[in-house]
Amino acid sequence: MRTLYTAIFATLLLSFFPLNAAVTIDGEEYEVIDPHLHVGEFGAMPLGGKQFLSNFIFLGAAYLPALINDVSQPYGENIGIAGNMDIAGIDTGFLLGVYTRTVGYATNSQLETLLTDDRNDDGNGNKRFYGLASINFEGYDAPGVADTRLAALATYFDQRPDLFVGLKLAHAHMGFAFNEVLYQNVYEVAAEYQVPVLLHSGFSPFPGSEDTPEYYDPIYMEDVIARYDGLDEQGQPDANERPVTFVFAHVGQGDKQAIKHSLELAQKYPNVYFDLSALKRPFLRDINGVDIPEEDQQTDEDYDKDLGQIPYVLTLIKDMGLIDRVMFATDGPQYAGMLKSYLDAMIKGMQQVGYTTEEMHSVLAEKAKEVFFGATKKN
Amino acid sequence: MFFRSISLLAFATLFCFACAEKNDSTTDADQVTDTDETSDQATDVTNDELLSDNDIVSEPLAITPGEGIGAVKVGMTYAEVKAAIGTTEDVMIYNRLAIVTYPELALEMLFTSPEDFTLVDSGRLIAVGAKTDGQFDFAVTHGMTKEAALAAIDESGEDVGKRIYFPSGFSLEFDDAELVSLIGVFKPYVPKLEPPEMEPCASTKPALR
Repeated sequence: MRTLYTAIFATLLLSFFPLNAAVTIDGEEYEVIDPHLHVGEFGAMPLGGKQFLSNFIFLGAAYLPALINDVSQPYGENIGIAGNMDIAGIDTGFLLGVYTRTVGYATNSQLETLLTDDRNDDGNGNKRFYGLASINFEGYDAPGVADTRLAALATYFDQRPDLFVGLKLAHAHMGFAFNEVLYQNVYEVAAEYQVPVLLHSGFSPFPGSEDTPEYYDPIYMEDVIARYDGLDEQGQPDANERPVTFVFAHVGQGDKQAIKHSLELAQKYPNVYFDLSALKRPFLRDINGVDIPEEDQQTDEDYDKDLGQIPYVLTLIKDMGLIDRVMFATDGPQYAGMLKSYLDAMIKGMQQVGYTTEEMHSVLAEKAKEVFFGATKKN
Repeated sequence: MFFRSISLLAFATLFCFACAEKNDSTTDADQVTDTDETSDQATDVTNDELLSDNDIVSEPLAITPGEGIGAVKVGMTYAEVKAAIGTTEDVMIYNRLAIVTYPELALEMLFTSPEDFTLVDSGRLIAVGAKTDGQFDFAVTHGMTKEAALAAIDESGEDVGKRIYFPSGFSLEFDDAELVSLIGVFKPYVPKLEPPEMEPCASTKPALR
């Protein structure tokens, strides 16, 4: 019954999705979805995060609380997330719940309030924002805590499937490794409600982020990926299984070995996808996982001074036949104009690597719609 | 990977670009706009109404955390600020974020605008800063050491090194000699370092109509 309901719901969503594409490339109009947008507030950010941001901005850093609080709110006046999407021409955004040690938190309840706000409805039932709920793993091993939180998490998918379309985890920021068994019962919630899981992968420059591979290299998730791939021992679809789609954000960026591992997992398993956010940074580790000296990072042969890791990653994806496993995302909003800047870089990268018009449509919007609004049921 | 990232450096770089463009006669007006002449005309405020230097030194501007500096209040529109203290030609805007400076008052302001590259009258003031060489009324004065400044304030702040943010709605910025060089004012914020316990969903999906 649930499957039928979900299928009907997904069909309705796809039918009524607002088609007000504002991005035109070589005369072709493209709809754009950004499934990786963070809400937040300055007060909920740890001191290390504030220090990190304060040191990066040399103009306006004295006003960081005002900047963060305006930019990180969906309906913040002028430069809020919606405003940033308008600047870029992005039609639809997914807001993320997070409970981290590094960048603070945005609770599922906060997200619910934002998503049910009248401003999230154009009057015809069309939403500008959808949400991905998360879970707090601090103190998770205390008696009764896990069950209580898992039950609370499940209510968002049970009661608001029209708003909460996935689960968000960020191992390196939450302080638990991909292969730590204690936390893996959260994937049962994703399986029960058939929602995709968006997971952080790759390096984070934020203070306090875990930077050893078991926290950011998806290869350490292979057991979990295999457990939820929806296939039987012969590799055939198993109707008795409840598959889960895993969307690895950032494609393991920063570490060439983690990028390679990530893409190889997608070749091996049907339930592995990627978002292409946060790729405008230098490589920090080489193909063998060895640190690249800071003075060599900008001159690395695979690093593009304008587009960072984007051409390298897009080329690997194309060469490995994985374009149908990737979706655009920004990891914004970060600052006013970031979404446009990153979208422009991604478009330039796809053109440079030779993605077709059809492939660009897929990357910019269609794959996100398929993964988050329906295709997970096909695995 | 959340807010942060090297991309923030790009923001700074873009602002540098905007600053550089300001003095460049070849500037593409569509990309970087110095002033909004149309909105200036609309506010019945002329440059003649700017305070003279003598006026400025005779009236120290009160710095009020969470509210503003002198007649300039956080939350005002650009039109309201111009009506209060006159106009300035020192406006730089990029992607809806504008830095406006009134050199005579030693004030720096941060506006957001609904237009990407034009600060229009409805632009919103989100922060204002007191720079050196102005006359201000506040417990902390420019040139104070960090130790002296903290001793003068009855509030603990969040010290991130070169700056200290205070939840009541102000900040202190220090120069390389660790002396107060800028006092910023913005809306108050509430430090909430620990998330509340997870709550279940409070709403249900509306029935299809």
